[in-house]
Amino acid sequence: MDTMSENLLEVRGLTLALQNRFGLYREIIQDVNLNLKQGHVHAVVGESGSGKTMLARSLVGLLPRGIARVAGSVAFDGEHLDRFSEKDFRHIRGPRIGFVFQEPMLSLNPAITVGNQMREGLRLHTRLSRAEVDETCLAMLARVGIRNPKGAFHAYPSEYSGGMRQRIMLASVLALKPRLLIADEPTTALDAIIQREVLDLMAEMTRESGTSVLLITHDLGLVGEYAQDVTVMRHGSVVEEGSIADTFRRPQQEYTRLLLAASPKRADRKTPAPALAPLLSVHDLSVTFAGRRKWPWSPRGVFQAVHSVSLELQEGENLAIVGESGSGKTTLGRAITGLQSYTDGRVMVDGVHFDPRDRRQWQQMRSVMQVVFQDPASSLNPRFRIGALIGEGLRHSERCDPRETKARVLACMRDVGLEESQIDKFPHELSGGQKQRVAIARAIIMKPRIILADEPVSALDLTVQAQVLKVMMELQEKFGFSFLFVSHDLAVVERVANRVMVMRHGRVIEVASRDRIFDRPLHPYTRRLLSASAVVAEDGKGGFDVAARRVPDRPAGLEDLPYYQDGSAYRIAEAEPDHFVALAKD
Amino acid sequence: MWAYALKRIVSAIPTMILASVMVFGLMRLIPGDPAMLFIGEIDDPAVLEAKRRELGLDQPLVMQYLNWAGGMLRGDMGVSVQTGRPVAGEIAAAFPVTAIVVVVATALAALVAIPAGIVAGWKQNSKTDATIVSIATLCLSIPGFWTALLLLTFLGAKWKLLPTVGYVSVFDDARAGAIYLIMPVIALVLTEVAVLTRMSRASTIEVMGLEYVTHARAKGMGERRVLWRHVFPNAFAPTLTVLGLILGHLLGGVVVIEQMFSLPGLGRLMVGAIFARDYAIVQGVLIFIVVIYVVLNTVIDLLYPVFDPRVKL
Amino acid sequence: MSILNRFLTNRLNASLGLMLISVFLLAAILGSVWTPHDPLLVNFGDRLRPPGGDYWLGTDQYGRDTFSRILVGARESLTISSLSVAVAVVSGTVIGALAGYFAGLVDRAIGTVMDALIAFPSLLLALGIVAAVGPGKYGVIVALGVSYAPGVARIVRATVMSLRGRDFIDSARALGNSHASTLIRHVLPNCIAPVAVIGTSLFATALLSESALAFLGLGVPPPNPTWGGMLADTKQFATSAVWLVLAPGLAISMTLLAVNLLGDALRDFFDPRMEQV
Repeated sequence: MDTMSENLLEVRGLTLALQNRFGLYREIIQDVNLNLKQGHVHAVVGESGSGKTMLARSLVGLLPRGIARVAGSVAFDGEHLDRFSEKDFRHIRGPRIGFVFQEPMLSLNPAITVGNQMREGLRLHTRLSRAEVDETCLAMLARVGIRNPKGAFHAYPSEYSGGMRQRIMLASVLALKPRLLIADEPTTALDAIIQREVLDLMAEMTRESGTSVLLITHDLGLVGEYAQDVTVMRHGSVVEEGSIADTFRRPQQEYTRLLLAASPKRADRKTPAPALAPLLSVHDLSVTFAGRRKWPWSPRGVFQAVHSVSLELQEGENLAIVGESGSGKTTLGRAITGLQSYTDGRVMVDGVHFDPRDRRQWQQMRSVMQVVFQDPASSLNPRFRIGALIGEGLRHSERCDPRETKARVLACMRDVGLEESQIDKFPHELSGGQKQRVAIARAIIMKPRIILADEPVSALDLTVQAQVLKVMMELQEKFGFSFLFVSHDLAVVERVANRVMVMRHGRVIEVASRDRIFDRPLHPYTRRLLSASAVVAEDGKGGFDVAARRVPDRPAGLEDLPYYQDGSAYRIAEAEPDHFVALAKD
Repeated sequence: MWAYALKRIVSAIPTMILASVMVFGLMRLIPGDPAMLFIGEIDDPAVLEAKRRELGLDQPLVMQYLNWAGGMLRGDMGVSVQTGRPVAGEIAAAFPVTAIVVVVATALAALVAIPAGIVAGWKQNSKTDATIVSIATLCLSIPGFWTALLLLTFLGAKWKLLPTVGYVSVFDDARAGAIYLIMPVIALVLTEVAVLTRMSRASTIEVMGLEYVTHARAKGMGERRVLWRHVFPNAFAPTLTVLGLILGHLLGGVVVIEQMFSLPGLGRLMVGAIFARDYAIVQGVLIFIVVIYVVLNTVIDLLYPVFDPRVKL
Repeated sequence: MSILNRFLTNRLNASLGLMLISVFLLAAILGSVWTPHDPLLVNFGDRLRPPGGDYWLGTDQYGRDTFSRILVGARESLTISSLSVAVAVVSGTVIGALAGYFAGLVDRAIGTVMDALIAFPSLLLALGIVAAVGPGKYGVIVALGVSYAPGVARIVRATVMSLRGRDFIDSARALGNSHASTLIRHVLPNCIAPVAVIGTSLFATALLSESALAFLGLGVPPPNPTWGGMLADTKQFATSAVWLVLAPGLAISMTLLAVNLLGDALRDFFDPRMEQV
């Protein structure tokens, strides 16, 4: 048993099963082995349904009701956790194994102050005095970069953003100096830049305290950057385990290769020849939302979601609108298609002003602009069958007889790669990828010239995402429509876009061709956004390199422009031909 | 916080105004001339006209409403046709009886139901849970007036354990008063206990499924502490709003119960007035209960942030 | 049929509730075509007979057959309750859907009126309305319908508001549906579940309130039997003729139990989170 000295955690033949009250069961994970080395960050990577979260929860005895361990052993730090009772587990949880959950908005109790929640762990598991406990908590809060730790101590979690809450979680879990930290998708709910900050902090703090980390994630970029070892899981089984260098450079299993290859990469895109007039042009579009009044007589606050944005879209072109949450990218897209009313500006299609309040124009526009939404689970009415969903748009445009409608629906289903037999199914009977294909079919049946795709693949698993993106590009090839592609995912944008528009807080930060944006970004914010993303690159020998994106230096002469920052006056200028960037108005 | 409180209080004003318009309009729907009720059988147009003028019935409806509402604000709710006494006085005399029954019933419901619901939710799907849920469903299905009738028949008339008629105020004689309260409160409270138990069970189950409860367990806390510190405070806030609903039930249910046990409260006053076509009383009681109900619900809303810091506005 | 099957599988309560409610529905139907005795026939020779013999559930102080009166009362009580629920559900759904879908000024105007109606405890509002329009079958239906409508409206409004945030409403608009067709084709069908649940629980409340009104003498006027009215009529004879208290009371309670069980099963069915594993 010499491996015990090296491995902090050893899982052997672990099998978990869902049991109902009749005793029948379905296995959720089968025969899983895992070796976590002392002091390492070990990633468990897999798509949804791979069983990675249940694996993590079973280690600390926190399985949901109805799921039980039916076979296998778990050895942690010389002890056999599989023989533990609930009471034994209580002494392990916290001081020896810390757990950070995915949703920082949900995992802190809203009714208890931050300080009291942090104290709980220390009071339970240490013999520190009250004052010492408070001192430790304050020190930890300061350590994770919370400004004014004293204030935070008495504040409620709802007063903090997602990133800050995840820092507070880290502080409260690591205050106990556990030997192992299990982090279940700890940053999935956060924006890229914040995700990076939180993970850097986690890596740094666990290194200091010698804590090993089991990082559960679906994000290969994070694995490549933060972990030393990786276990790849699929459908409840381990596909491959090994060091990052071995597993990514020389993947032994087909699935691992598939997963790595599925990461979107830059592909050649032909740029449509610029026409005399753009297909779509947007001038100085602004959207404001009315805020709340503090007092009944005080003026209503306003929140400007989109600040005077202009853009042009050519026939057959893909323009990607990129930004983090709160950047206004989705609102902009909705305003252009008329789903959101705007306060100022004009939307022109083929040089004609489109006013969404005009009912006739609204109807006409449906065959010009169509929308594909982010989450097909929510964009498809659960009470309609697939055939009715896809054919719905035809009800309103041209009068089609039922036979013709059905023929067109079937043709569309073939185009997006659905089986004809699925026409009578309900959305919940399809997988996520198939649902998104239905959503796409629903849009293309109208033969639109512009499709607004709002994060069309971000709810999908990586391998499914790759397939759906491929279908979208093939359809574009076939029908020649343009895409307005709203996304936060730079890898996806790099794959599909001709041009990229970066937005932040409702303002355009930078607009240029895709290659310009990725190869010579100018604005500091664009550069930060890029450097927070990872790149999966094929090394040409059947292996893959995963690393943080390197952001090239700015070209000479453009380093010291007065770039726009929050609070300064704003203007947009052409820094070099066809490369626009936000500058401070002098 | 204060802005929120003020806003909440101010927002109750249009509700009250509209409710008073409804009460006023409702009484105007009644066919017949209210003045006729006062003068009785005297068949003299001149007398009728004089009475109409005295009651302000010759003025346009809007003026009539404003006069009436203005009177309400000054505490002048008109005069009872039956007794000739001011309505305000009648209500003031009846209110303590209703209040004591409702307050005792609410307190009892909360004391029994909230713990029962939390235990049931905590031990979801166990025998304890099944028992509590079954009892609650059963209680929910027994009408209060039937309980009252059964109590009166058996405890009162057959076994002579409790007095069936009469009423002594607890303020005059605490012991005797309490005895007169036993049956009305039981009859009134069973249904509400059931409603509240089911509610607090549901919110306990919901909170138990939330991530921060799992997180508390992941810290190594014991089940009991998890329940006490993390589940209870969060399950309590939604239960509190249900108390407002329960108050509404109780204020309605008490009408029948008072009638059953001949308690001289607001409900009995109102039902008697309906039969006697004493509309000043009906109007007065309705508006009075609406005011009480709106005020209590406003107070509950204002208390909400105390139990749920997310609502701190 | 398959939905019914799915609904009843593993739900003892649902089956029990469905069975009980069928029994009472059959009783109501039976009561309108045949009764063992004339429910209105006064026969002082047979007054206050205990159950047994010719009178299965005994007779009341006028010698009327209790069983026959229960059967006829079933029809009265069940029709009044279901009609008042229908009034509440239809008006509440329309009002709530309009308020939730159009939001803004429409919502605020409707909201103010609903708030004012909700400010009345519902039985009191019903009492007030009955006082104004006069007792009787239709008076009770209108009174109960109006006092329950705001509750339905509130729930439909909340449902519609949450649906509005779902993409499929925008998606329907993007495909060219007008507001009216979006509301009818996409929004309303998704309100069926919550409306069914609240409708069921309202049915129980309506039955209870109808009985209470009848009990107070403000429901359907005598001599027509209703369960609540039967209880009220026999108050003075309760000690000597216990069956007069038990029979109508049990009828009300069993119906309420059936409806409550059915309502819980519906709630579980539509909201799997609360389902008993």
